[in-house]
Amino acid sequence: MKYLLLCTLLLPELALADTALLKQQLDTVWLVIAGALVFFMQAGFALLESGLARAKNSVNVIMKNYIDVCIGSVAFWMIGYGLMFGENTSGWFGSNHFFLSDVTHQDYSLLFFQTMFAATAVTIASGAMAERTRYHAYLIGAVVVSAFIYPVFGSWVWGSLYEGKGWLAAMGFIDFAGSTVVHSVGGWVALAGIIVLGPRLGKFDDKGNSRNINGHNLTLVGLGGLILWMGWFGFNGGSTAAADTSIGLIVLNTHLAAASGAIGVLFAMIVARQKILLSNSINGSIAGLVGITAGCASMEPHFAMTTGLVAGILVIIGEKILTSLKLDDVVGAVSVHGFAGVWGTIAAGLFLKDNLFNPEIILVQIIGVIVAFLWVFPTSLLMYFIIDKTVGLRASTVDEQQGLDYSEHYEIAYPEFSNHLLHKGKLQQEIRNV
Amino acid sequence: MCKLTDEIKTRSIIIYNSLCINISEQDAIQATKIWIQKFSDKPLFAIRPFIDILYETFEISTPRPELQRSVLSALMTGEADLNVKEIYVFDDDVKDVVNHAKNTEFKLKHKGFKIFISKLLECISKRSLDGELVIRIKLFDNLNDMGVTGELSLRVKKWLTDKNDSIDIDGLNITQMKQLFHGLYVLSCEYIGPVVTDMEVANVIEEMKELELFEGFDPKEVF
Repeated sequence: MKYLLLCTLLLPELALADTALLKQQLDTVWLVIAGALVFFMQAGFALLESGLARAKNSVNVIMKNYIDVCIGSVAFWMIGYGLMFGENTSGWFGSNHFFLSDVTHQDYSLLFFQTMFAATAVTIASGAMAERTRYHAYLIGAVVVSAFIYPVFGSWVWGSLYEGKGWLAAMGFIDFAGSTVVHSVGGWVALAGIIVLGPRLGKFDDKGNSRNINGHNLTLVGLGGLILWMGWFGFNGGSTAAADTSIGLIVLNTHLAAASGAIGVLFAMIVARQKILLSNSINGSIAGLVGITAGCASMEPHFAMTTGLVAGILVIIGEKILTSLKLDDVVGAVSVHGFAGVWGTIAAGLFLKDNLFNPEIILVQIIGVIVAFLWVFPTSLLMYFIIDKTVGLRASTVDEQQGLDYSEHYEIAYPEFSNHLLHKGKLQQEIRNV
Repeated sequence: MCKLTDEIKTRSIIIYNSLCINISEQDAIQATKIWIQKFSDKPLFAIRPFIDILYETFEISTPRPELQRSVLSALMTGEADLNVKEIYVFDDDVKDVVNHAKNTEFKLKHKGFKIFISKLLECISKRSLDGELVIRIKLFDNLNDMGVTGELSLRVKKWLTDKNDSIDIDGLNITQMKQLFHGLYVLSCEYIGPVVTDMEVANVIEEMKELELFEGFDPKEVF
């Protein structure tokens, strides 16, 4: 009888404990699935960037994307995670949790998810700097970005999610999934990279006019864009770090912004009386996704649509600005990630649910955006400058003529279509030997 | 000294040619000798000690990775590409191998070079007459930087300005030919664009393949 009474009294407690455990398990599963979706975005980046590069550089672009994930993940686990989420006594970066181990399973899932974010931030620059960057030099840059530049800024915004403290977050800076923390950071690194590198051979004619250097496979570009779009549901949806009902609004906003981004490009091209290009349309969608990343959890769907629309238009304006400055961004990464990231972060303040157009919030957002630029751009510029002066960042013009597939990797992606290359390459030789 | 097989002889020609791009012809002969004597019977990964010896023995300004890549490329040339049957039987003297390379392959490359450059300039002129003229002027303005000097420089200038392929420019070595082609490529990218330049290079190669002169010889070998 006593036993029955005890059971009756404890039953609600036990049920509560079960619910809490189930919630924890669901959170973990969702975070891991979302992390896997973010990882899949790497495939999107690889296809998009490779498709927008010429055939003679396609292996090189894929290699950079592939190794970005590898290097970025290891460097972030070793150093980056500690700097970003470790205990922050100095106020500038974390100082423990390097080589994170011996923690709870939930901590591991957070590390996994954040590692995918770091890899995303790193890979953004590869497309902008494609077709003329030396492979080894690029990898050095990737290590520095994933282990140092990205996590230090990340700690100011997201450090408090774990054991650090974020001074920008404490000011009220809103960047839910990283319009600034991930995308603008990647965009500013890319901007620094293309400034140090200079344009590709023949990108600008003797009068300074820009020439189109079309990518070799627009089908890959289209597929890459769609994969990125899908991966973004994990990127934004997973940033809740919990399997809760808010995911519905987040993924809907994400989707609407992507669609509106492409419509924004369509609109801009019609107004400018230009042909509506596939590459621009896809970049418009990605810009919409970048734009909504900061405010996807805190704005109503019609504002998400507005955010995406403006981000799409910004892509076209941004590319024109870069071209007028004689900067050669192969895939439009600076416009898509940098400029759209800035807009998205400000939009998150402008369209904040229940607190629309609050000037104080908008000011904090603007401060956050400026701080990101002031930290990332000069450090990246210095980093690439040092790399250029020591190991050499820019491939020689001979290598550029031969294509980096051959000069950097000794492999050719399309040996049967490489008549303009004055070499045979490994694959072609092997085919002959067979 | 190891026994010289036909394959080693032929491969030594390729290695010699690849070294010529980076070091003087005399040093390239010595370096090829070293390779034949000490490394020809070793596996591919023995390339590192070979490169070490080159840097210890000769004054080489080329960055190590570039030289290594160049030699590696020569060593990795498949047997099918070596044309072993066409090689005469030599004495065990490396110089003969090298001289053979100079006398036959080099002459063919020279002819190929002239045809290639002339045809490419012709293609450029169809797209941009001004561009072609400026390219010719810029090319002969830069001949000194390419190490083409004296009487040879005058002949090359005449060849470039008169568009007359009968003018003899045989004194150009492989390095100078490569530099001249590369200068033309860079200028062409500037004037007619990189994509069009690559297309024209491909067209010229296809045209050259049709010439009787290059029967059994890949025009790409010119460079």
